[in-house]
Amino acid sequence: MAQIFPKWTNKAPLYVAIASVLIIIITGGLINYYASPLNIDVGYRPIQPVPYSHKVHVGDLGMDCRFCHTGVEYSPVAMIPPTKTCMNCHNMIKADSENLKLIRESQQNKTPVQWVRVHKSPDYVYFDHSAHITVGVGCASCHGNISEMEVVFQAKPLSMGWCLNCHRNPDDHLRPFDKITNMTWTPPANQAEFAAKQKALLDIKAPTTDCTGCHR
Amino acid sequence: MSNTINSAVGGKKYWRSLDHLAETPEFKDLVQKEFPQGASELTDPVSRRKFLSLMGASMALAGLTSCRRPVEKIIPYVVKPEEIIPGKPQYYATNMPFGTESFGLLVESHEGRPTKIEGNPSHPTTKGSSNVFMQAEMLNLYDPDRSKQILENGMVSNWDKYRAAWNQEAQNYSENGGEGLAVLTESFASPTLKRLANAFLEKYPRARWVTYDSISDENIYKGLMAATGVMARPNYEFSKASVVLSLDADFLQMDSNDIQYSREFAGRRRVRSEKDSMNRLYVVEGTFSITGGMADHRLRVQSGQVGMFAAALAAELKAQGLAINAPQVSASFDAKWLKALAADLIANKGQSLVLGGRRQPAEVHALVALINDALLNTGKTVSYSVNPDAQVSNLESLVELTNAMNKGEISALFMLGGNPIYQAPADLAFTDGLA
Repeated sequence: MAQIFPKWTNKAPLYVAIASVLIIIITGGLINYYASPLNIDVGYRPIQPVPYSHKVHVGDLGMDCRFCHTGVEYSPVAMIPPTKTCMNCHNMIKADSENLKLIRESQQNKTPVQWVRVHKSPDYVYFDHSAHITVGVGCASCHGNISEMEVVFQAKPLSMGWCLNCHRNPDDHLRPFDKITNMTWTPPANQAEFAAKQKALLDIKAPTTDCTGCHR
Repeated sequence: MSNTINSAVGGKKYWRSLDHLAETPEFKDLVQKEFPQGASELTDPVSRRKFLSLMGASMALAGLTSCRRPVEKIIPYVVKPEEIIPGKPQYYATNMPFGTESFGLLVESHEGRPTKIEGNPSHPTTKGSSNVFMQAEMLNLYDPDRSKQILENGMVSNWDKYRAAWNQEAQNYSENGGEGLAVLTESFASPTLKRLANAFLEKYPRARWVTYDSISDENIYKGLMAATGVMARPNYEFSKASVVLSLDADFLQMDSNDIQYSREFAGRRRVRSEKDSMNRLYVVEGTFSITGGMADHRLRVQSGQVGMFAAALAAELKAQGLAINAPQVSASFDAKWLKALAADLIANKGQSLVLGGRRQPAEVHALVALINDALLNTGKTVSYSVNPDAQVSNLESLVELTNAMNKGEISALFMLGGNPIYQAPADLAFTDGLA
């Protein structure tokens, strides 16, 4: 009587086992890369209701971040400026510009402008701008070089791993206080020396890496 | 009791609610609504399959849509109020009037929305602590039943229309001195409101000003009125009291000024060194309370018998040699308990404290004042004060008002706070008077 299964089927279980292990590893890897904030969130560039250009205001005109984002040194949120802040200048400068139509309407009707959020940490994460700014972490460390962005996009992944990288080794991101809002600052050669001095000056220990530091 | 639901089945009858047991129309209606119209279609095999396949498809699509990040808006101020920093809470120190009491509060507010109430650490009544009423007051701020605008016969109106309507009425009332005019408020101790009330009654001398709370210190004020001749309220100094007897008074949770009393009472329970001693608490009550749970010795007595107990205690104090004008009573309470209590109170003359609960009638409070006086506690552990601005709840005035309303003598009634339809004694027929 002829064999029902050919001879190669003896090794079929082995092949199936190897194949399934490979499939699991490959799918896991693909998901890990393509579904990560690094791939999904970086480069998120929503269209804003008003074509406000950070490149013009910060890059070309040299305005400081804190001129508009006034809460950044005192509050957990940096704050999107109220319409009044825009109109303080723009009722004199380019007062008739078509791009500012929505801002003028907002001022007249007392209706707020609905900006689209670009940088978002999940609701279960506590993030405090003032805690970072007051110890000398620069804006650009998390937001990238805003002064070159015509439309703001997310430059860093803002993932948990990314946060922890800096929390474990913050030295490269500490700056002198007058360079906090500088978009083009790069660490000097003696950065390690400066970081040690800065940490001693502010009496800061290593930033928290406990779960409860952020997941309160 | 007949139970038609399970009448066909013998044995025990089970029911899920009182409505179910009574088979009210509301319950039958609810049973019908449990399977609303259209839901029966699901039991049909063909549409059920269609339904599931549609659900499956939408589930699959839902999985895809979640890959896209939801658009979230940031809505800043148009003109930012100068004192607000978004993200930073603000704290406001304020007062919460509560009956004739006032609590000092600290209210946390986020971008103009109050979120949490706590005691004000700098205020003498609360010193940073709070009670259940203060915590619950938060919800009152967002009560959907609060009217946000002037209503006229249930329709939205405005202040101008109200003023016009009232000015016309006021003309008539000025002429007849406020005949048929009545104001119903809750009790208060606000100097401003008292001044306005006086001004109102000066202008309309024949108008009625009625004050009523369903739960208040009315009986305490009345009892002290009988004992002292003035509308006084007692202030207890638990920090000086070594022996405390509470006659149905839940001073640790429910009574007026409970925050201060809890703190002072607990202060005398704390033993920090070998020289410190603890106070002793006797509680006589008819229900379970926090204060009763804290008692060293608790005697279970019907609420209606507490007055009798106070009289029996006065008699026992007299029998043990205290100069007190005690009424003669024949009551059978635990004689051993009563003897020990009287001996303890006499041994701590001037450092003991007897207090009666607001549930007890005025006579009990008059007797309590008498006992305290005989024990030389007045001026030491208990003192009496008169607040000229206090407008105390008065049930008789509500009864008079309701009778007048039912006779048709009241043509205009202003209710400032309170909910008399819900709170007023049911046999008063207050609701009928409104109609």
